[in-house]
Amino acid sequence: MEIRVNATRQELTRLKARVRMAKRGHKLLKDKRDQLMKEFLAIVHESQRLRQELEKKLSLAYKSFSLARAVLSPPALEEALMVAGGPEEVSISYRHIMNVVVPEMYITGRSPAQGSQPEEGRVMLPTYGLASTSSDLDDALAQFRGIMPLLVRLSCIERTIQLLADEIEKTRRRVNALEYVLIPELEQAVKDVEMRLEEMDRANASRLMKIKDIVRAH
Amino acid sequence: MDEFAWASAVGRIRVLEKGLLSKQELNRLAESRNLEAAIGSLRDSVYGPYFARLENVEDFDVALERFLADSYAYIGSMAPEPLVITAYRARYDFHNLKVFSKSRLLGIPREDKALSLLGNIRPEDFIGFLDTIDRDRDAGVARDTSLEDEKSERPDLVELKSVLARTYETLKSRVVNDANNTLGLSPLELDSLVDRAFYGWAQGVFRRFGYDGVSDFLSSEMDILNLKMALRAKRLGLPCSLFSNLALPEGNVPSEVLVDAYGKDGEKIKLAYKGTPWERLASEGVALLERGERLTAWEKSCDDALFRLIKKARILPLGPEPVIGYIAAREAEVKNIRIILAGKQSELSAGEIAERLRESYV
Amino acid sequence: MFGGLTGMLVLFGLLVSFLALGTAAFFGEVLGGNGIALIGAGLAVFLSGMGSTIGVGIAGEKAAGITAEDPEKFGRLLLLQALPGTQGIYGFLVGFLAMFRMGAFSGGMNLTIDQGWQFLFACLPVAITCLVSGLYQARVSIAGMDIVAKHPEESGKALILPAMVETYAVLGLLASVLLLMFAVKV
Repeated sequence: MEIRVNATRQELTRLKARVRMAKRGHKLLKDKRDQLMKEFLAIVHESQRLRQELEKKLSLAYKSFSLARAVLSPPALEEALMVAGGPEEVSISYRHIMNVVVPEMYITGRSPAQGSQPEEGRVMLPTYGLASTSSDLDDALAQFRGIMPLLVRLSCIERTIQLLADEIEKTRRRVNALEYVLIPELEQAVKDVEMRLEEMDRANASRLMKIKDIVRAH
Repeated sequence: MDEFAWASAVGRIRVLEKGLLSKQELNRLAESRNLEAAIGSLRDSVYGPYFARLENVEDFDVALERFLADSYAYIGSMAPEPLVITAYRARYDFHNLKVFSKSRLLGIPREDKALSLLGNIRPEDFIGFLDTIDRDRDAGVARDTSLEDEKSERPDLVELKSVLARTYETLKSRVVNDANNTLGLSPLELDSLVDRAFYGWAQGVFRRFGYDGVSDFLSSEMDILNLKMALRAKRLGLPCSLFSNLALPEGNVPSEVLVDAYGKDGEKIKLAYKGTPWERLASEGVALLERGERLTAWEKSCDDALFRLIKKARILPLGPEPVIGYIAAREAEVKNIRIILAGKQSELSAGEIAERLRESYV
Repeated sequence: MFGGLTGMLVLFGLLVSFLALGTAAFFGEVLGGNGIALIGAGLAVFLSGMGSTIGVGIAGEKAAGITAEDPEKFGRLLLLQALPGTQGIYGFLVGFLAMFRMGAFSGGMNLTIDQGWQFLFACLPVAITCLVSGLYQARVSIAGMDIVAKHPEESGKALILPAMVETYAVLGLLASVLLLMFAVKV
């Protein structure tokens, strides 16, 4: 697309101002992009680490659950697990990364710092009779319960990654638009205007010289 | 008490005992390559026909459950004093009572898979039975009149039903009293109330008949269960007030002593079991607890200790003990087979399976 | 010792014999020598018969149970069941011998009270040993049936064990016979 402007000196100054503006914006956006990328990579690394940890823990938990299952008869197991282990409340707050609003989630009563350990004085009551179950089941369920904060943390991080990726994409498109479209076009327009102005100057000069000649010949 | 009445039943049991899988057979089963191979090697045993009827080998639990249900029915048919066997088998009726109570009183959707087929009362009859109790209560009819039409029923089932009804009423009153709280009765309390009702009643029946072997076994089972529950409750960090609701009464170690010990420390729990055959188990368990290690192997040795007690019935020539011993042996065998098959299914290592295999009867 | 059903039955048998002795002691004058002697013969038959009947009965029940599951064991089980039955025969033998010696079959029974007491006590060894051994032999037989049920090839051993109990029934029989033949003065 070409920028059509009147080839006036006033326009030229305005165009030049726009170019300066665009270049400054470009630089700022690029900085933002780089910073976002840095944040993004850190978070991706963390999510990878979390995911690996989660997968390890989940497979361990599933394994101990299948061990518990082997020892209990199916009706005994089903009966023990009829009632869910009780509600867990998730609190959500928000945080800004480079102007991007990302959620922070953690399970109420289990602050992220404490990880999988329940808070002091908070006892998870089993929801099944102890006489007809085994300690394997306690262990397996405790493992699953320990995974919950990790799951919540991971889902929060994945959401952050999604939001950041969107933002990076948007910023990159803006940077590119500035770098490859707007700035070149503006510069082109400046050049055009300058050439036209020079052209007009030259035309003026030659017209003046012509007029001078005519005047002198008389 | 009429141990001579059991002569014929014991005679039949002796022949049936020959069908129990030996330790070698179980080990061979544990060494088979995968689930299919394991089930294949069971084909020639008494389990064969049950597995043959399966469409999918993954449903081995169904076959094992059916096998046990048939065994119970067969044993029940030969018992001269049916109430003794009914009382032993009633643990499954009380299990079903837990399931139905959870769905009826706590409003949790009923899980049909949780119902056991092994009880004296079939699950489908159980629903009608509980309906009657609910209806009578609403209509304000006393329980006794509704029992009129049950006159034709076997007296042992009538007694069992009245105990179940009483337990159900207790649960119901606990829930209704706490109407402002939807979960007025925690599932943990519900389960332990039902467990205590079962053990209390069964012990009463065995004492009434005067079969010391059976009632000793039940007391020992309660001792072991109490010990296991105490250590697990400690591990889960349950308060003493809650544990006092869990401990089963009527063990050899009085539950008050144990609850009192629970409120203090591990040493006191050891002390509570001093002088019982479980003294060593108690100190081992407390040591594991203090080191924070897993209890799996220890729980197995508890089960084994209890099972060795049952095994004494093998040499008794008369009385209900061999009959109950046989049933317990079958249950243990089915448990072992389940451990092996489930282990094969989830591809556990041979060591992990062996760690969980219980002792066998023969 | 007397906790089980077997012990209760033994106690019951001893009670019966004490009652009989008491009856003889209190009403000796009324019963006369003949009466006391016949009480003795009756005790021998009754107590040993009771031991055998109960013993064979329970052993039979258990044998029936095993046969129900495994009919091929019937022959071996029959032997074991029959073992406690011998005591009844010994008792009957002594009773018969006593009646023979007191002259019940030769027309005139004419015993003094002293002679009556002699007959009574001569009959007691077989009566009591056969009652007790009959019941306990039945228990051993019943336990032996477990051997037959589980290890049919070891059935011989199952027969030897109850046969040991038989010894004391035979000794009781011997004592009673010797007493009747040589000690009782007719």
